[in-house]
Amino acid sequence: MRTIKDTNEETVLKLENVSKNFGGIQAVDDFSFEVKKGELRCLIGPNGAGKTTVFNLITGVYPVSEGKIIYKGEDITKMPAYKRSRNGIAIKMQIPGVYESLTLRDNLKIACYNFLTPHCKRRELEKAVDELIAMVGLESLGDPIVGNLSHGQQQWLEIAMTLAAKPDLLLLDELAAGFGPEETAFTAKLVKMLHEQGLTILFIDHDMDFVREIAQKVTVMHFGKKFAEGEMSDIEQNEDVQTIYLGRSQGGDN
Amino acid sequence: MARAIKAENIVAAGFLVFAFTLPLFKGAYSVSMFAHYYIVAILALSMSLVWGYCGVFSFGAAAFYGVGAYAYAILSLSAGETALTPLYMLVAVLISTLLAAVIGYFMFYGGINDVFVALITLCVSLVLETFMAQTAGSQWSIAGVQLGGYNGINGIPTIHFGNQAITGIPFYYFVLFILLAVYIVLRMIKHRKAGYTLIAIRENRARSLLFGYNIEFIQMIVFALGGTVAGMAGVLYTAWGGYITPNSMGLIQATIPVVIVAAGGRKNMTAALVFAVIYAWFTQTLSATGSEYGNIIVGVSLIIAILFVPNGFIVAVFDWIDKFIGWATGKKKG
Amino acid sequence: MDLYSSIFNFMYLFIDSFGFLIISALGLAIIFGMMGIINLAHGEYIMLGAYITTLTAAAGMPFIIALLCGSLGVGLFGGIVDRLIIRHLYKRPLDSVVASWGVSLIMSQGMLVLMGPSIPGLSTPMGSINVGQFDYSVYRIFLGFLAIFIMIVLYVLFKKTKFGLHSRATMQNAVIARNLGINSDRMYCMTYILGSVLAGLAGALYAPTLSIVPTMGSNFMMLSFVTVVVGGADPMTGTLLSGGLLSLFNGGLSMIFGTLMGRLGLLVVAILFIRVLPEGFSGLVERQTLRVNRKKQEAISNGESN
Repeated sequence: MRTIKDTNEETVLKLENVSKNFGGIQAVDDFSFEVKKGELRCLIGPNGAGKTTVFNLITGVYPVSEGKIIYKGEDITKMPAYKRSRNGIAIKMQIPGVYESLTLRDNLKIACYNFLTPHCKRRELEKAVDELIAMVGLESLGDPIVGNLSHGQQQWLEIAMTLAAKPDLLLLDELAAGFGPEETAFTAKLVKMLHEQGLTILFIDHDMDFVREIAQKVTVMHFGKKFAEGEMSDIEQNEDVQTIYLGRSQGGDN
Repeated sequence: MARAIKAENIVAAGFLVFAFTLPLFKGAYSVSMFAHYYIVAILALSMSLVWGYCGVFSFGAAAFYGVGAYAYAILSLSAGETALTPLYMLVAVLISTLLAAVIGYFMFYGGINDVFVALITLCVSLVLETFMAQTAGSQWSIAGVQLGGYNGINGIPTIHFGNQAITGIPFYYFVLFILLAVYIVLRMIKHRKAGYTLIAIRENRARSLLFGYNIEFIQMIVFALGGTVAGMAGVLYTAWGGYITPNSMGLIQATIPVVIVAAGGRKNMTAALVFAVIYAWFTQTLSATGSEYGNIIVGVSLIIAILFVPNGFIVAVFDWIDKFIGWATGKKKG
Repeated sequence: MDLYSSIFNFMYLFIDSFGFLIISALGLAIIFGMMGIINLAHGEYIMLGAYITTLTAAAGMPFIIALLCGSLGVGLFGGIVDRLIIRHLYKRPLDSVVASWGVSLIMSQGMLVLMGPSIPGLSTPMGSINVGQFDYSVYRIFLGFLAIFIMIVLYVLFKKTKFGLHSRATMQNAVIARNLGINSDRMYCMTYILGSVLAGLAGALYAPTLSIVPTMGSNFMMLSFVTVVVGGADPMTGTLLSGGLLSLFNGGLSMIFGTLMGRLGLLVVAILFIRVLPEGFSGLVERQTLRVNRKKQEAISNGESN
């Protein structure tokens, strides 16, 4: 299934001068960044900064207008989205990306099918599903229709589904949104555990406590451009970053 | 295997018994008509596969039905060797499949989806009907067979096995056999990877792309297979009636499979099959008795279905029966 | 035929087709543009307008009154259909397509039951003129120009009235419009009625030129449908450009190959358009407008920083 060989490349993901415009709107503007293997990077920025668009460019949902995307050393700029999934790029989306009218196990089966051996037996499939359920701690739920689960449970289910791909790069778009403190803590623990297992994780979030607790390095976006990058503690102190979040005008720019 | 005892299977079994024994208690005319109803059911299954399973709303079933029909007509009349009619049947179905694959490629690899698929496929059906309708002149012929414009082609031979023409009761069982074959294959894939793939695409196409599913390719293949089944129905219809006209690809014909599947139960093969037979029988009976109200009743039923029973009449019946079973067996356990 | 006759022939075919496509498509375009619904009963609405007009005129009313009865009668009918059926399906566009097909069946069969296979038509007003070897209907030429007039009236309605403003807002983004206090349900209902009135008007206007049978709607349906598909969701610019382009094709092809070929050409154009420009002319116009606006913005901000 995988066409990109595993390498010892340090850099898992590299965006070179990537731009995306939609008709009249420049969503991403000459954006470059690098994510190293095993990093836990957070992408932050005010609403409309272009963060989700960057994710969509990485997964291949949108083609880039300009620039290159390099994954594990290979140029995937022209690679179709489904192939990128099969090569280990997995994403938990901002809006719930689960199949609400299907059961929990069916959801996981659908996520697994493209990543098991081509003619695997049913037992192998069921075992894979069981493992994924255990990984996110949802054993107690049984096999309900996913539409009946809480928002949090759906999010964790979706994470389990992303893990079916045994990904090398995991994208998480707004993990902590809509969670209470207990759920946020559980999610943080889950993310850290995945990270300790060697997964490279890139995530978007607005909850600064959450980001502070988890992120190693932070990239800030504004109006589609890279605005700042560094350790969370430095970023938080950065006056310019504070300004763009609070919306005061800055010199002559808008 | 308690799961096997559900309304859908009971109804399916009931239908099987009914269909197999029909020639025992019905005369030749009824047997022939029911063969036609099963052909309508095969067409409905094509729609059920493409729309019900995969979520692609297409008006194209009539187009591929017509192409299969015309292809068989031309092949059997020009080549003339009736012993080869099964071969012509296969070639005709292959042609309709190829056309569906080409149109599918044109649409899905062009990023077309949802209502635009409906629009393009409707246009395709209309193009074929319009084109065929103006082939009245004698210059319009393929391989020596006059296309005949609005009047279409007549005198088409039925399927022959060797020298034996298959008509009447043997033809009835032949059609039934094909209907069941299609039905069984479609039900078999439901719980396999293929079935799950289609459902995933239907429920959330954009998301499934990111679970590694090659959406465009799968949609094209499913659409092509829909063309295969519809083409088969077309061939059988031509063999059954001996004629084919451009009407079978027109606006009304294109919408009938949609109506059947929408009102019967779009996500359920058995519902579509059963409702197709009922619908075909109903409209035939109405027109045979000279009733003017046929289409009105169909129209009203459709609206009622959409408004009050959106999952389909037959599926609603299934649910009702399943609830009853649940109540009955629940009581026994207690 | 000499050159002058040929040119006139082509221009007649063009203006006739233009008028026909635009007048018959407007009702469908407005409903589709506003609500995203393809009204498969559109042809039957036109048929109903033709029937009402013909019957009213045959009863002795002046043609203008008959026209009004036809359009408003269908508007009333459309309002009833909307309140009973369509309004439950605002959020389910595909289901509304199926439901509208049900309405279409009821209407065409119902008319057959009520009025029989045909009723005597009206004679075409305004007579004919002779150019070259053919006689041309003055009335149909008049309708071609009337189409332009109707579009101007609708343009004023959409751009200069409050209803028009609310319509365009709802068309662009129903959620935001609702948050601004625009009752989208009422918008949809009024739009559906407007679309029905226009369909009735089409039937009324063309009634004197056609034979009045219950199945006359399907011809209108196909052509309106193609026009809307090529035009896209903007009922004004889309329909206008689409009507123009398709009339060129239809006129040219009909002239050379005959009406069926003309129709075939239309369908093929429609297919190509959906594939290449799924949003039709409207999408093209919208993107160009966005691009022009963006360049203006850039020019302004560049000008300022200098």
